[in-house]
Amino acid sequence: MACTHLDDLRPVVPDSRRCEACVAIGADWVQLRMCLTCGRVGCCDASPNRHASRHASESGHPLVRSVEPGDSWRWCYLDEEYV
Amino acid sequence: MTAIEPSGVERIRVRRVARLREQLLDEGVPLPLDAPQSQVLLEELDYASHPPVHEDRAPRYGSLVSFGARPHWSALSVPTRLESAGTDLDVLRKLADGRASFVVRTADGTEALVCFDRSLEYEASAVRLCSETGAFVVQRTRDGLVRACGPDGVITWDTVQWSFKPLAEHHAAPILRLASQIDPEVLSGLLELSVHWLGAGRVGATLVLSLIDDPRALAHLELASAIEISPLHVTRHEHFPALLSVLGQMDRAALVAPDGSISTLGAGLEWSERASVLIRPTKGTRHTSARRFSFDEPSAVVIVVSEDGPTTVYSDGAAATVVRTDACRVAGAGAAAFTGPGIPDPAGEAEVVCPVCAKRLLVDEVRFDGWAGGPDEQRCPVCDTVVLIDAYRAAIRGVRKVLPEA
Repeated sequence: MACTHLDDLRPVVPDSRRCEACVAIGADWVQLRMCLTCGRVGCCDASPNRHASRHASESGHPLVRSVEPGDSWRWCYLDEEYV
Repeated sequence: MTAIEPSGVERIRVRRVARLREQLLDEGVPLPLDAPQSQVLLEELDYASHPPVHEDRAPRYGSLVSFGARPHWSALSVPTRLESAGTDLDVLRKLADGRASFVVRTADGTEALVCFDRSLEYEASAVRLCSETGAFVVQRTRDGLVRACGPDGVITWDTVQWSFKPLAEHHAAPILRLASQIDPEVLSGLLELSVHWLGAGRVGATLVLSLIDDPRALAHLELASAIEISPLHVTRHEHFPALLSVLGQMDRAALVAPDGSISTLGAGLEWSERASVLIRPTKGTRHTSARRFSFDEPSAVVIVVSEDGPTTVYSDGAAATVVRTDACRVAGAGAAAFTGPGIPDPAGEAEVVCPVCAKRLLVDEVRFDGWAGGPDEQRCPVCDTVVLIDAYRAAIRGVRKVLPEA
């Protein structure tokens, strides 16, 4: 089933170059993702704390994009697919 | 001591295989553990780890695990057929020495033996067998290591931890992105020789791949003590044993022509005063000289194989790639490999020139309209100068190779 959450997106700007939640607890991360609803930057699911997906489940914001240099893919947590 | 009933042995084996699966998942070992046929692969890894000990000796062992109906034998140079189909698996396993005889297990339930007329004992042979047949090659080596060669790389259990080394061929793309002038077939052969023959055999070596027809014409070579041989080719596997032998007995560099032929050995590498100033010593003499030489010679790429295994490719004064074995739990190899779809974003590629060493740096970047956080700071991989890149985030991938005009 095609993801319908893209329809409501507006341009957002990332809130940081780091995973601030990891920085606050002194943790490391593997890669960074940005919430496409509010711009919150968090760490990916390969990182120990998975702050991006935690943010998605707490806020209900379904879509993220990779903010790794050279990446442009997006992921929908609700539909569990690249969009 | 009470003997364990056969049914008890089987229960122990089943529990051990289940524990192995959990361990592989926990350590991020990049194996297809969710695939329907993964149980067979786990059973073979378990058997290779715990073979029955006879007269205080744990035997060598080997098997081919195909996730298809059977391995693709057609690419092999030697006619191959299955033997002993219908024989009990415990007996088949005793016939499989992991060098020239292997148990074959396939998705359709086939259990048989395959025999070759040559040894496939070493990593290089196993990688090639895996590549040609599409099957996982599981081996217990003479030293008691358990090794599995698959489509992603070589996985090793050394009785302490699981380690992973990616296949050499996976490292060709980032090098070709920087240096499109290299013949992909030559690069593929060179990487295979370096990673799976020299590196796996702990043979240190330096290979200079020239991008001009006569490698001896490169400016920064010292050839007084070099020797000439009949050409051996990095694109011909039958030449690899001879190259392994001679490179293991000689210091200094072998010169590789653009077509992959090697006819000069023992060449010394030299470099300019500027290279000495800009490039600090790194990792020892072999690496430092290779890196400085590559800075002065844009018409060459230098491959350095360390005696402890890693292979580093230097181009224009910077490492273009490093191939090494990493402990899975340290590197997070499996997790890192599957963090996204890996589709490159052509809009996110840029070039910047280092203000100090003047090399053209290839940059991957992400930009956002409205980002007010200032440029991203990255370090030049050649001279370590801080380079400001006007982007939200950026990563310098290496130096874009530009050949001097003839």
